Amino acid sequence: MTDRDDDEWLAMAAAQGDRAAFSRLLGRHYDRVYRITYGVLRQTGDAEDLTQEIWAALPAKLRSWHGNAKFTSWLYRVALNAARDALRRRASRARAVETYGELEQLDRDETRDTRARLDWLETALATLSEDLRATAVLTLSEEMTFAQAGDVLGVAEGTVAWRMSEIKKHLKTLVSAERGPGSEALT
Amino acid sequence: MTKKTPEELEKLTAALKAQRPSETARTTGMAAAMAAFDAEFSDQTEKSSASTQGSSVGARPIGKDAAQAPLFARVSTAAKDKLMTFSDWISKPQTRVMGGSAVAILLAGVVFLQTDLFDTDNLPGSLPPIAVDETDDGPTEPVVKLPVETPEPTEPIEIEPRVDTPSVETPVAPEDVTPEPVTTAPTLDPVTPDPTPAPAGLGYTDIVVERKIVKAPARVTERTIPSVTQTVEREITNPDGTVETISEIVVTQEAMTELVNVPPAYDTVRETLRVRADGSSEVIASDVIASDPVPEADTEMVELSAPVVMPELAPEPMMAPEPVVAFEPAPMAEGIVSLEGAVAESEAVYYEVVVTGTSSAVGRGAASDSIRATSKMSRETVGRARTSEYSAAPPPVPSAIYSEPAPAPMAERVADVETREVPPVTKEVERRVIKTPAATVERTVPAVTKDVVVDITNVDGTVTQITQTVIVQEAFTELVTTPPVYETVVETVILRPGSTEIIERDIDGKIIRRRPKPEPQPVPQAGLLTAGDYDDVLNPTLYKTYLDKTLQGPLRDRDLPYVDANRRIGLRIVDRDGDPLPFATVSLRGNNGRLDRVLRTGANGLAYLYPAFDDLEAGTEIRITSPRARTVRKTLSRSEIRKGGEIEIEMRTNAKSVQQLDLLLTLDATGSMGDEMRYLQRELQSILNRVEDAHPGIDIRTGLIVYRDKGDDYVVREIPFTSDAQAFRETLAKQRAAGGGDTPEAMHTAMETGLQMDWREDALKINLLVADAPPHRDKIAQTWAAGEASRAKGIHIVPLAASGVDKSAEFLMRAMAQLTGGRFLFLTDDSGIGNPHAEPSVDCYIVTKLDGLVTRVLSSLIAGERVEPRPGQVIRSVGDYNAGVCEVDAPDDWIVNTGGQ
Repeated sequence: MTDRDDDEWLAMAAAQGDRAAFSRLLGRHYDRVYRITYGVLRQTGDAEDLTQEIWAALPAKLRSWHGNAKFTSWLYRVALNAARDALRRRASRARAVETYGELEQLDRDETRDTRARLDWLETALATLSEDLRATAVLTLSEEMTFAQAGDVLGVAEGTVAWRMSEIKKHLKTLVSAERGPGSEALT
Repeated sequence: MTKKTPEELEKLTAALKAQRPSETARTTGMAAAMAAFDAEFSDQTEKSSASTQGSSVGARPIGKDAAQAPLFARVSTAAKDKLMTFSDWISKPQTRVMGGSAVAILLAGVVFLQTDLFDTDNLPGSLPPIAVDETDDGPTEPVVKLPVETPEPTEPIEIEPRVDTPSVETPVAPEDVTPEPVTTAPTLDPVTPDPTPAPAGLGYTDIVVERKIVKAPARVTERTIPSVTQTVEREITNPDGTVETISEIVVTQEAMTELVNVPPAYDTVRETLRVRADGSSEVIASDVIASDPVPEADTEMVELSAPVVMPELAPEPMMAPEPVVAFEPAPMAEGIVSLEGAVAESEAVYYEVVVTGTSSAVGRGAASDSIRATSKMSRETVGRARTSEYSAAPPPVPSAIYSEPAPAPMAERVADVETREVPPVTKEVERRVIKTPAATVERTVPAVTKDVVVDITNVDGTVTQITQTVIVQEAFTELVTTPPVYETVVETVILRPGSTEIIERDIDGKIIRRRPKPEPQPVPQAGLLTAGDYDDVLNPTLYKTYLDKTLQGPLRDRDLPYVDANRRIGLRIVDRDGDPLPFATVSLRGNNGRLDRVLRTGANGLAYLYPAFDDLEAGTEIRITSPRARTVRKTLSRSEIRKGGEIEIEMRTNAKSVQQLDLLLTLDATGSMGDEMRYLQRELQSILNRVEDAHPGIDIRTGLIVYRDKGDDYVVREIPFTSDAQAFRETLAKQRAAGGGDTPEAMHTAMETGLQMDWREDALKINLLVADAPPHRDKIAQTWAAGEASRAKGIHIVPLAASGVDKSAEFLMRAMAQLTGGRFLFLTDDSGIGNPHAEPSVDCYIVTKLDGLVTRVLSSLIAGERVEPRPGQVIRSVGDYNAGVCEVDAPDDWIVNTGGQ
């Protein structure tokens, strides 16, 4: 359809029914959406499911794509909103079924054993609140500037900077705990 | 420990970046996404055009987020704007209020709207913008169906209304607005929209709005209304009792600048406005359907011309303080005012026509006059009468109080002198003066907006309203100018000050003469008069130009003598040391052996020869004699005559500087000099003191010749040269200016008398000629002959042109100065003393105090080199003056004329 390759142009084309354009966006950004959802949800399975849902809903959503924003920013916002929404639903589910939490914890323990490589990340993310996790994902893994992240998160740039300092603080606590008494046993 | 933190951040970053969904999950997810895409755009052909339109370049969003989840749209209008129409504005130029046509044609377009899934315009922290699964807080499982499993292609994702969507159970009808659409939709009936959801709805509604956008913004231009002047003849009485009529230009209305508001010009555009489900909207099509012409200030306003009288047509009764109809007629014959079209815009039945003419005179002894006439007339009369005549009394010309003083016959004897007080002549003058000046206030004309209510029916039959605010006409800022407020003041103007009149009667009681009694005047101080000088000797080329222009111009019918300074030869006689030799006698003898000219060198050793004037020819012998030197002879060659310039001749003697000065004052003491006589006397006394102080070793004698005219008490009074300075000053102080009557005076007699004075042979001779009038026409040749004789005797004539010297007097005075190596001086107006002084026809000069100037001129003549004023002594400078030499470009005609000589 066109030689242009930037996200915005592809999104514009996709919004008008360009299948190839949508396919390219899909391949380019599928994992990105996953990282966002994972960063917020902290569960690979939930993140995978939600990523599917988001991408499946995206063609209709593209109808309202105005082309007046950066596509990735828009996509992050969509993914972030969906992830937060899912997190909220999960929390309400957990409250509803008391035992579910225990089961989940058991499952989580099992997961930790089997997926040792995620131990540290999950532990680290667990020390962070939802807002800090979303901020960490955007600024660290997606390499957004504070301003861009603030735009996606709907907070001021200064808030993002403050959150980053909070993240550092929490990670420092995590590192201290790791290197504290018994840390030698872990390594 | 703390330093480790960045490493942990890097670790976190790396860990996050490493996160990927499982390959299975990715494959499934991407397939689902493509299926969803296919389902979404399965009806691409019929919808893609709309999408394309929506993304057209120049999309302009208007409006903000509004309601949610609309399915159907219904359009209605709200708000009725009461505004003047734009055409009304145009037709009322004096109206400063900007109005606008509140035309908003809303063409309702009702289309099916797809429920929006995501509300990306909401901030992340707000309510969940997307609802992908459940309707309430229940722990139900997400009901997300992948597209591949979705049987209905029109609903790729089955989404139920999200939890936090405001309840839209019942249609919310506008409270104050009839929910009917104002206009009909071109394609769909807005009242009964198609309830069937269209497959994969468009997600928006298009409405058509007509609105006005500013094409050319309002602006303010400045226009200058020129001043109105009138030539008024007035009589003035001279101090000597003569009455003369002068013409004065008076300003009856001063020039003023007014601001003219030019309203903005609008384009009326028909815009297709796309209202989206999320409340945003944008213009997807815009057509200009009407365009205002850009108004020009000058064409919008009543042309104000320069009126002599200004009529105001005011409806009766007077309701408004300002003239209701601002009407200023075109230039007219005196007193005739055209009312045509004046009341076209007024609806009054009767008018009071007020015609006022205000004249404010300016100038010396100015008078002011006011005329006013009122008349009542009906509208029909005004409308019918193309012209109505108003006669206003012309400004009264004060009758002459003093009759022209007939020259009293010498035979008549005054038998009785009567003194009578003459009261001042005053006049009450009405003048319109500005009480409050015109003011300009900035005012913002707000935008005209319309609220458009769009009813959108949801899937469940509920109706949501989206209110769109459409700017029908943009706001703009205008300057509102309020006219100045005038008030009429009555001023008492003294047309003629009170005075005392002296009536002289003869034996029979017949009035011989009436004249004003001279006002007692304070003793003037010296150093008050100001003067400039012009040295034609230093500027022979410019003098030639002056001669040509004057003799071919204003004085061409006069038989005026002149010196052609072209190719002037300066004979510089020096002694054996090269010092200038004063008072050497230079005799010119032509080829025929006849003695043609005798002249004397000045203190600078220079004697000027004028080839044309002196009839120089090749072979003319120059004989130079000096009392203590051998005679030197020189024969002029043709090339020397043709070339001009300076010729230096050495005499074997030792020059002595000037030891003696004979200074003759030749004073015109006629009546016209009266305004300055007393000052001049003081100045001349001061000058004498200063010259004496400046040259203490010089033997100075002063003589005086006072002249009037034939028929006066005396024609010439001669005071012989005297070394008694005090006696001379006393004599000078006794002189009074009187007599005269006609302009020319007995200058020739004075000049001839001056020649007969006992000038000393070895003295520097200066004749300071103070005059303001030329000799009688038949005596010019005689006067000139006296000038030539002065040249032969070595008398430098230094003319001082006093009050209002006429052109012929200036011409003659300058000619004599040129001829005798003098300098032309002239009083200037800078002092404010006396009547206006004639601006001399010279190219450059500086103005200094008179006493200083005369002293410098005399000192220059004594020392043989020019003495310049100190910078602080210069009051004013005209032209490019450089030590008496004017640096000007020679005019073109000068080049032609030089060739002719």
